[in-house]
Amino acid sequence: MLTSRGYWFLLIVSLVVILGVVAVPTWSVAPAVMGLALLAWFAYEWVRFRWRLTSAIARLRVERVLVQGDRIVPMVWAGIPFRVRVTIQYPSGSSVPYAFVEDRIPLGVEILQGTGDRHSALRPGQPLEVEYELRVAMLGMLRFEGLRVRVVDLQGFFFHHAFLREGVEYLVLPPLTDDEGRQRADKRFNMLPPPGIHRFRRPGTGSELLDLRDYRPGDPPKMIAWKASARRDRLIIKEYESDVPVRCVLFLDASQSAVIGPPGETATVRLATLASGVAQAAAANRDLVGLTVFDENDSRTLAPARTRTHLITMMQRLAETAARLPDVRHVHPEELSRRATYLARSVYPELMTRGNNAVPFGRHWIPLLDARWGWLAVAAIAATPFLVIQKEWLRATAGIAWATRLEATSGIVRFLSFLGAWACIAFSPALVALGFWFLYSFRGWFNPRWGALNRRKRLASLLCLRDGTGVAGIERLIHDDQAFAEAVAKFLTEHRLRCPFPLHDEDGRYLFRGEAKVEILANSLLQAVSRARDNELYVVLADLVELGPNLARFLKAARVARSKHHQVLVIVPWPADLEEPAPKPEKPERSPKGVTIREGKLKAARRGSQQSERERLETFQPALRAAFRQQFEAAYQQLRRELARAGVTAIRLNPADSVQVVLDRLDRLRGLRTRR
Amino acid sequence: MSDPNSANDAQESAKPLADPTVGELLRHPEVRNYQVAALAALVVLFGMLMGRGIMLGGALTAIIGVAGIFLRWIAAPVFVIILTTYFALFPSGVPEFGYSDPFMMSRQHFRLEDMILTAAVLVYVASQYRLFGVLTQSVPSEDRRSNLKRAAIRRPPSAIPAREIAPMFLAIGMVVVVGQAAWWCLSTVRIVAGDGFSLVIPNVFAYRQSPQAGRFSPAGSRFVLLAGMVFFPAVLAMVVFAYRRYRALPPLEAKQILQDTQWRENYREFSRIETWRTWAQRRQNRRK
Repeated sequence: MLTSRGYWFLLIVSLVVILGVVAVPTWSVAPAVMGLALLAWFAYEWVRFRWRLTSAIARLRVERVLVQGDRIVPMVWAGIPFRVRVTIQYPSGSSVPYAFVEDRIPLGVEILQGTGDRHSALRPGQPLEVEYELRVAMLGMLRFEGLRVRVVDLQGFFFHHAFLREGVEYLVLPPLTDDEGRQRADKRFNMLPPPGIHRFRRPGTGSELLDLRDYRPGDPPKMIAWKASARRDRLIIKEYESDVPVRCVLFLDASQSAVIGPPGETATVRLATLASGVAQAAAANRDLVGLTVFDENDSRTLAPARTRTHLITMMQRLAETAARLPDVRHVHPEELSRRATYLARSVYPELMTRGNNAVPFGRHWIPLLDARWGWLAVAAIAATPFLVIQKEWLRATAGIAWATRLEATSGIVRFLSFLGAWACIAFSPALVALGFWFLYSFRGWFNPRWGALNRRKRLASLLCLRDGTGVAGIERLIHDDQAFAEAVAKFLTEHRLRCPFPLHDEDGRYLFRGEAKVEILANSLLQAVSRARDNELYVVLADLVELGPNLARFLKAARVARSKHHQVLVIVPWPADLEEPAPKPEKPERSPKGVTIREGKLKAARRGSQQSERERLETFQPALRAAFRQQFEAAYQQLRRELARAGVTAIRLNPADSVQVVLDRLDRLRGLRTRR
Repeated sequence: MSDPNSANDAQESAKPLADPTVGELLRHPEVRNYQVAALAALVVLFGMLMGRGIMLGGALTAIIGVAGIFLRWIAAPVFVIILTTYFALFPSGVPEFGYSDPFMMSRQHFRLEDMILTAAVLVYVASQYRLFGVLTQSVPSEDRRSNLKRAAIRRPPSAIPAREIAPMFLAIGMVVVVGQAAWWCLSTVRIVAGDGFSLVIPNVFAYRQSPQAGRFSPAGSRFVLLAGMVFFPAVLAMVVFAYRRYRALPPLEAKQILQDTQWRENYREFSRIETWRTWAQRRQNRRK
């Protein structure tokens, strides 16, 4: 509440007042008069500040709109700038002369204009507006937590900060690539291509000749092939191929292995961007597009369709998938606690204050009786009265007490000293047990984890309040690491806060391999095949490279699809943080001395023992990266061979590949005529 | 659609502030008001001290005050208060008490000279602190332990409304009178704690009477009165503010207070249950 400026001012003025009023008024009254006036002014400012604060903060309301293309939108398109307009409504109350309002801007956005903050007074009936322009490069989700309001008096003596929570989320959809996507107008343009442009070898109304057959009554005369009829002396009819749409089903990997990675560059984001491009290209050809999002646990399917609404729904589903965050349950609870506490203090400041969320000293007292052997102390205390009434014990202790009594002149003093000594000796087992009890429990106040426990309790209290678990859940979260980690992970995920997580467990096993997703993917593929019609195309966008031995189930499902004459394509993402593979096998470069670069690196590595740790790291890091790249490339080639045996084509999605490049490759593989 | 003017204002005030120079600040009339007020207060203070024959004190106070205004020395207001107090006690600048006049207290109530001196100090201090909000920092940094050095938040001159300075003069005039009234009360009323506890206005010659056993000395009486004058209004204000706060408490915060109270009453039982539950869970895991 008081700033350091306020503390210093109050301290100096208090000293002046005490000095002036109590000590020196008979020499000069000026210090007393001046000090009292300064103190009265300070009190006046404090009362005004508190009065306005209690009146204002509870009444503030936030309204937020996102404006893109001069329209208020419920979700935004990636890559296109949009304006965020936040209005703070203050219907009634006292006016606050100065407040600093700051919007909590989500991470991963580019601020094009404005800063998202505002210095202003808060006056009833006069809404305060903050406006700025943003752009998001990748699809996903934006979460606006709310606004931080900091109120100070004009002198800077008093300070209060509050957070106006909103917690609104906006989907960031992949950009529309067709002409309509570039137009922002209410008018809808008629850009519908003819229904179906894929050749299908069945009689239809296409333009390619399929076959000739004999005339049947009812056939239209314009279909008669006159030259052929003249040659054969009977009526022959021309049959044309059908132009049909292709049903394209996209399978998008949203498992943990695809979700991890740098923000905005995860495999899921890249695959979802590509899926959006494929879906829009298919929709532009009047093909039906469906989407199945799968992970280790289940799958969600959007049946193929080709309406505009369906496309938008699919974009939303893709954005939701791209917004998924990795599971942080494997992170150490203390690490989670630190990050979550920072977030909680920022977003829920009033719920984390000592006044509302306290940890009493008694909570650190270690209860002895929770340990089984602690009951020995209780037994010692309980047994002491029985010991005291024993004649031998009584006689022995009385003898010792008599010998150690004080030699005083007063009889009462002598008696009291004897009584005290006897009580101490006779009840010594109970006293020793009590002393041990105290020392044992007292240790809790010197616990090095005092701060961590306080932090955990405050966080647990907040989490239980939000979940509605109630007061019983607080101690559960304090004691149970797993429950605490799950609750904090949920909290962090809800607030879209990323947290560093370990990739391997204590035994060195990779935690994000995701074998379970193969089963889910295979089942989804079989379901799609069971509902399929002719000319289906299945595009699997998944991270399958390191699942070589576990792919049998998926390969079986792919063979079933191929046996039904459907096409299956698998698009595998190349890791974003790994250099792209060279298009051709690298030839060893020769240095002027005739030594290959690799040999040079090896020689440098051999010198590693004489280098510093940093130099060693710099030497080995490129070699390690190259080895990892080589390993990944080998795994990909192995996967490609296995898929090829099942009749499935695999494509690698490099980080630099644009959607257009992949679409061209897809078209070449499909061998079909498209309008693009 | 929003008002375009307000949007422009928002953009203007949202611009990142470069380090403003004094010259730039002088262009803003509201800031200039505070600067002129502070300088004028220093001139008055200098004149008042000079009028009392305190040459050195007047010069020192003025120099420090001007340094606060132009060099942004944030300790200047506190030093001005300390120096004014010091030189009021020791006009020559040497720390030695002169003749003690017990009648001074009864004579010096609502003296114009004292009121002008007090008002000058108050105007300077208030103006200087408001200037610091524009020049150095208006909002204190919240996370003092953080290693991240964030730029200080300053109040932009454009955010100062016109005529903001007028209520300041009004408030200062009021507190000068309140300060004088408080001093009259402290120097006139005396606590008698004999058979009971009562406030009386004693004879002006009472200072010659030696304090009787169980009675307050004049200085002790003033101290207790001062403590009472600070304590009881503060308690009253705290009660009123607490009532207002609880009345407007948001539901989530109210739930948090209730939950925390319940936890404080029951945490021992819950903790014991959880200790045993954890133990049982661990044993079950071991058996698996």
